[in-house]
Amino acid sequence: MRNHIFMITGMLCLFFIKTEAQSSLKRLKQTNRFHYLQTNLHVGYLSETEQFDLSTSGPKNRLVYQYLAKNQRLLQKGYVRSVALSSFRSRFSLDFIGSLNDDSFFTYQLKLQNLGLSFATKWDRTSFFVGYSNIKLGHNPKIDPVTDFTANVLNLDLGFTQDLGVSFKTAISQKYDFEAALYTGGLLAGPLISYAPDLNAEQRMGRDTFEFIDPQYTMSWLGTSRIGSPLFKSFEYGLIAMAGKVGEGIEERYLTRIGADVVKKIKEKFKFESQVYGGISSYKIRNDSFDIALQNNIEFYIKSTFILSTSNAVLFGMPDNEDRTVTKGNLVNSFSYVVSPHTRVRLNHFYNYGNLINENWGITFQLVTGIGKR
Amino acid sequence: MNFYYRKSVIQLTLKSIMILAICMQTGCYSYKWNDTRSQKNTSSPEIIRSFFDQFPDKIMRIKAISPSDSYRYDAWEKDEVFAKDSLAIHFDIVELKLKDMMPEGTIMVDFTFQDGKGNKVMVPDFDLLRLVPSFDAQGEHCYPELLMEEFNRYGVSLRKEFDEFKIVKGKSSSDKYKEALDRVHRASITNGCLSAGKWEFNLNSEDFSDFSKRLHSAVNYNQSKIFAHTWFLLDTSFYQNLVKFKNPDLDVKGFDVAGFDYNKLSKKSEEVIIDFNTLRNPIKKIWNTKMLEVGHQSERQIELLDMEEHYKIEYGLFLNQDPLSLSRETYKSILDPKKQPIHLAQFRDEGFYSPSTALSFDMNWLQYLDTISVSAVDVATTDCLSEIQITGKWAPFAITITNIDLAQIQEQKLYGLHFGFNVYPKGRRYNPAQPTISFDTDLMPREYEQSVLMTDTKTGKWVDNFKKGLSKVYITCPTLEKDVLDIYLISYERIVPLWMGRVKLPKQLREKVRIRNQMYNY
Repeated sequence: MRNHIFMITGMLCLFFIKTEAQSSLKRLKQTNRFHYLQTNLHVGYLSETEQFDLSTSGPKNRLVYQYLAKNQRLLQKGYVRSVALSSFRSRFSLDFIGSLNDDSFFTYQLKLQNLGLSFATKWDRTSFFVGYSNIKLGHNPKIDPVTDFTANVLNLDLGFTQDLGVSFKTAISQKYDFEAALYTGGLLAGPLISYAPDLNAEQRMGRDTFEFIDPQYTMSWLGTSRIGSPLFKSFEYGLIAMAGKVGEGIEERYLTRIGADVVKKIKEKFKFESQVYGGISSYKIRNDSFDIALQNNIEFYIKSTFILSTSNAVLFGMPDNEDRTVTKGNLVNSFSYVVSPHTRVRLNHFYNYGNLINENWGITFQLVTGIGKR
Repeated sequence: MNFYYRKSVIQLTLKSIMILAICMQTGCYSYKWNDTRSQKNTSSPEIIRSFFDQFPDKIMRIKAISPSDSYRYDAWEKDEVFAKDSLAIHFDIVELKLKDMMPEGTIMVDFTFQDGKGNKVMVPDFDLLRLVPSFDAQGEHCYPELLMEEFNRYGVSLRKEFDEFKIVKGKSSSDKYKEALDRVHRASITNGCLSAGKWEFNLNSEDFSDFSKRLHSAVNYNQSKIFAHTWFLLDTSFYQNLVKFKNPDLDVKGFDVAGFDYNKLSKKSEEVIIDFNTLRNPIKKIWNTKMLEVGHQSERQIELLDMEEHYKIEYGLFLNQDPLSLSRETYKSILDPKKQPIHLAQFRDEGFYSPSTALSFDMNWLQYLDTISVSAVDVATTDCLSEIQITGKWAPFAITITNIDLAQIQEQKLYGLHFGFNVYPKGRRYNPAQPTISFDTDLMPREYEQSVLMTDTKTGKWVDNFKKGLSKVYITCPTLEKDVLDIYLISYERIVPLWMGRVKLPKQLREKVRIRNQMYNY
């Protein structure tokens, strides 16, 4: 186990200021503050309730506000002497959770999606980020990070996909990048504010109409890292690793993971991603387990305005002293039409499967539209 | 398995932090043009060495000249010490010392620039070939390429924060000048235009004294100021050998690559029919674009696009009868036959702007340009590599821009291209940025090489853009949606924009650009 842990470091990255000698700054300053408001409607038929309802899988029904500010001082100065703040980004969502068929379950949740500072450095392809963002383990670029409906194996493995931390990325040669990040291990995973206006008497037991996040840091942490080819290659590959202490109560555990990822892109027409990793989960109060996670995504861009995608994430767990393999998986198929740069409609199908969960499926319609600058 | 590996975990965390700290302390990987560790080293070429052998201590010394305080047309803000003293900060002695060993395919020298007070700027391990034109065209195309290579100005910038140059302060230099030298943050060596082998050396300083005030200005004034500017001429024969060393197969019969007559070569070049199929991969399809605006038809007001134009107008290089009229000009009015020719300060002699000998250009022909077409170039890696052609039904000339990766066009900046074959940006880093989807000219894959050429619409022959008053093209996106391109044609010596057009890209291409940026870009 000790050897497993020694193999791990942590990381991710974000923005990068590219030096383009071919480009000149415009004489008049361009806007450096960008506001964007986006809404995501996601409804359909769900096998779990056998009703037409808000989707319980994939992107939630939500209103998202995003604010991005580029550092005007850096833009004007034109270069980075050593390290400099390049941008600030924040993204909050108001999620609508519940059922169209029962008001008492309806909850409004204010959720942090992204909040942090990006720093540029004087070195090419070297940057770091401090704040709350998606956990980056391997490369899996999404076209729409907030609203894309793709399976995410991190959600199955960790139970959360975003975290507070520091991430770093640098080139270690012309061909390879090194990425590492250190996170809190799920400190801000829950909603910031929860509002349930129509709770019935039974639901009110031990629960308030308004609830605010009460983060309790339990010495959890999560580190991720990747060494591999950079994003601009049409064929990417890398070694990935993750370690940490996450979870609470029965889920509290140390985990170590090591694996690999590959991405194949063909022009702007096709993208295939595969990620596999495995390692030990060492629980505090239950049997340890050897876990293997696998994720595959395929996307076809048909005339660039239609997108056909399928993704599957599955987690296999092999607990010590048990003669069985536990599984949980998520299969998602999606057909999208790009109406405009801000609007797209999707027809989705999802299937949650495995012996650790109640199998269910759904066919959903998704409308994403936004206004503003991003 | 035990549950708490506290010790191991703490060790792991400390190790991770140490790795990051080491990375940040020692510096991350950066591309080194002269990285001798990863390249095969050879001794200096004999023919080149023989030039150095003629000089005492084998150090080539060249007398340079710098402008005096009375020269007002160096178009940028000046440092307070610029040209104030007749000796200090006039780097009039240039020394080149040839290295014994160098990476194969380079000519490495140590440059020293010395002023009259003993102040020195040293640029070690500089590859002279980085400033020698590379002839990428084939056959007869070499004639116009030779002309455009030598009559465009391009150079490399050396960065203080990477120790790419060193400053040694002279003992006889005053404290004022010694302090001033601390402000220098960029040096550059440039292959100037006008004639082959005419090179320049620049120093730029930083002045942050009113930077906060500038932050609130709508105009992008930065902190950079001209500190020193020097011109020097390489020996013609030496330069000729550098060109031959870099381009052993260059064949321009009847013309001396380092001493040709401009008009004679221009005339010869205008006989050359440009075959674009040799400059790029085949055209796959013509995109169904829509013209949204032509500047002279919509009578759009002329607005200066970048700071170079801003300073050149401010310093009086636009010389029409009423120079102040530019603020009232539209893209239509400036092409008015009654206002032709327009007068722009000549760039001449060692490299000075001369308002007293203005050049005149009849720009009326630009009114016939009213169409922008965008075609997809067939390459294996992307559908965003495009050819853009600006022409018109009655246009005498067409301007063709090959191999533009539309994913690199953005809203915040202007993508600039000079006329030429595999065109060089006016200024680029000495140690190039690592290739991503963006490439330094010297590292550009063949199928991505960009050309900007003016041709006769009837004959397809090359047309001398300098004589037609144009030197540069700017492309940008007016909005963040990046579904519209604005294209500007810039005058001789990049003084003023004279034509603009706005074209809407089809939805399919817009999405391809967005996907490319998302999948391949940082």
